[in-house]
Amino acid sequence: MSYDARRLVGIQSERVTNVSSTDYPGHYPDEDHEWSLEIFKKNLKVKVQRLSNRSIDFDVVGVDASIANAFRRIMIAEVPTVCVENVYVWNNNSVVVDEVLSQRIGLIPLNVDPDLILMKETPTDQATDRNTVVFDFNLTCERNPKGKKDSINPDELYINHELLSSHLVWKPAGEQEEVFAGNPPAPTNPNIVLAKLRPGQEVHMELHAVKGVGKDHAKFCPVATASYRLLPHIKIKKPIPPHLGEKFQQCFSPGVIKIDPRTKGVSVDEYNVRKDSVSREVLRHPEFKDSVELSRVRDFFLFNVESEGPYSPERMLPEAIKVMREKLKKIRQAAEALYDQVAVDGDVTMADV
Amino acid sequence: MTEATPKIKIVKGAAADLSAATYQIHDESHTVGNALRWMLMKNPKVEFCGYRAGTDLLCPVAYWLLPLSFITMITSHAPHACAPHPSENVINVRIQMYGTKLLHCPCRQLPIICHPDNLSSLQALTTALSDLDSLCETVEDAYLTSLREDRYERWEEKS
Repeated sequence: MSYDARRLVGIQSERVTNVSSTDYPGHYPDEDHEWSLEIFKKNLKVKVQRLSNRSIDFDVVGVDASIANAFRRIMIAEVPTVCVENVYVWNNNSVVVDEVLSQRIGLIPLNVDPDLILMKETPTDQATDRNTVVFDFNLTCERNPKGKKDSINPDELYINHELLSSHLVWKPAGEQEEVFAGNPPAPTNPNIVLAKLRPGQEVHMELHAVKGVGKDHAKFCPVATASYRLLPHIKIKKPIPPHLGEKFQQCFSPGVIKIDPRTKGVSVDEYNVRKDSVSREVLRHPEFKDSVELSRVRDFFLFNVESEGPYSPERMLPEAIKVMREKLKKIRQAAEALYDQVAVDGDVTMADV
Repeated sequence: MTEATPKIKIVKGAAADLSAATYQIHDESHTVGNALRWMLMKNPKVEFCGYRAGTDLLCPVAYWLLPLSFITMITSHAPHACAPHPSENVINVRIQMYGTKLLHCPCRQLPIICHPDNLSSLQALTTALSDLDSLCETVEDAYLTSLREDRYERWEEKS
């Protein structure tokens, strides 16, 4: 596989070259790089590579870094989720103080589909069944009467000695019973330990979960990680001598370099080249210095997204694009309104900023 | 967010015909700023486009045009206006269209900018926004098609 030299970001031992994209009108004489949806459609390639219950790997080829980065940023900071925001403490005599326990409770990922809930316009808005999900959190630790005296295992000695995320009890209000009928609100992971209790200690709280976004608080972030990297590209400029084949192979991540068992010929694995970490180890060896060229493909993005929370991993990109388009729509409406106003008045109003 | 804050404001100092202007977009960041800048730069009629996150009265272009003493004067008198505070939730997008003529005002050193095309930078902004939207739609369609039709590895991940 070879790429147009303009698409490659060069990687040398101590520097990178050709970093910026140049596909702008006026950059190259006699070349038109004006935006064209047809050309974009033709060059765009999106391909899902791996999908699990918690994460997804996909390639986006043919977009600018600013676009790929916008999707990544939105997945982290602007795709909404539902989390506990207000905690009303009736009683808490555990060793974990109220504010620390509340903070821990806020971080529990909930399975509530954010589409079923409205976002509060301001934090002080009245809580209603449309914008708030209420949980009861009530646990008292007791001595286990059947426990052996000489045991040191808290599981045998005490009842309810761990406050877990599974102890959240959803309190449906208003129309919520019907709205959440298919999927009653609960934590995605029932085994999160929030506090440890001993006999006589009790936690009794009411939790109000609301819809929010990651840029407000990290607990609302729907992903564990959302990242991309550029596809590595390795060009072998002159054949690697057979006796150095294995040493050459060791310079790259496992699977990247193939050695033909019969001819001992060294080549790059077309698919597995994406596994390379681009450590530049190969450039440290004088014998390989002139035989290889390392680079990355500027518009070939390998995304990896780990979902944590209500969205299945394959839903993350469509949700991010939905948010992006919503933002663009809002700005466009404002720009059009501004245009109409200026066109009618014939006068530009400038803000005092 | 209250309705009192408009989504877009035209920052002081724009050309009267908007052939060159700085737009302040409220409640946005690099996410929209950089993508919008890229799309505006794909427009051959745009001579210059840049953005900054955080409020700054003087966009980079204004810095080039103004004499150094003037900038020092402003920065020392109204530091809040010049130093963008990172916590301010706005971006400034500067758009300059080709064909802008620089005329010098007889009484002052500052150039006056005028342009025959009316409202061209605002039009460029609107076009860029709708082009970005169709780009997003295309990416989403391609992704959903791949998810539906392509063969890919499925695996079970333990939590």
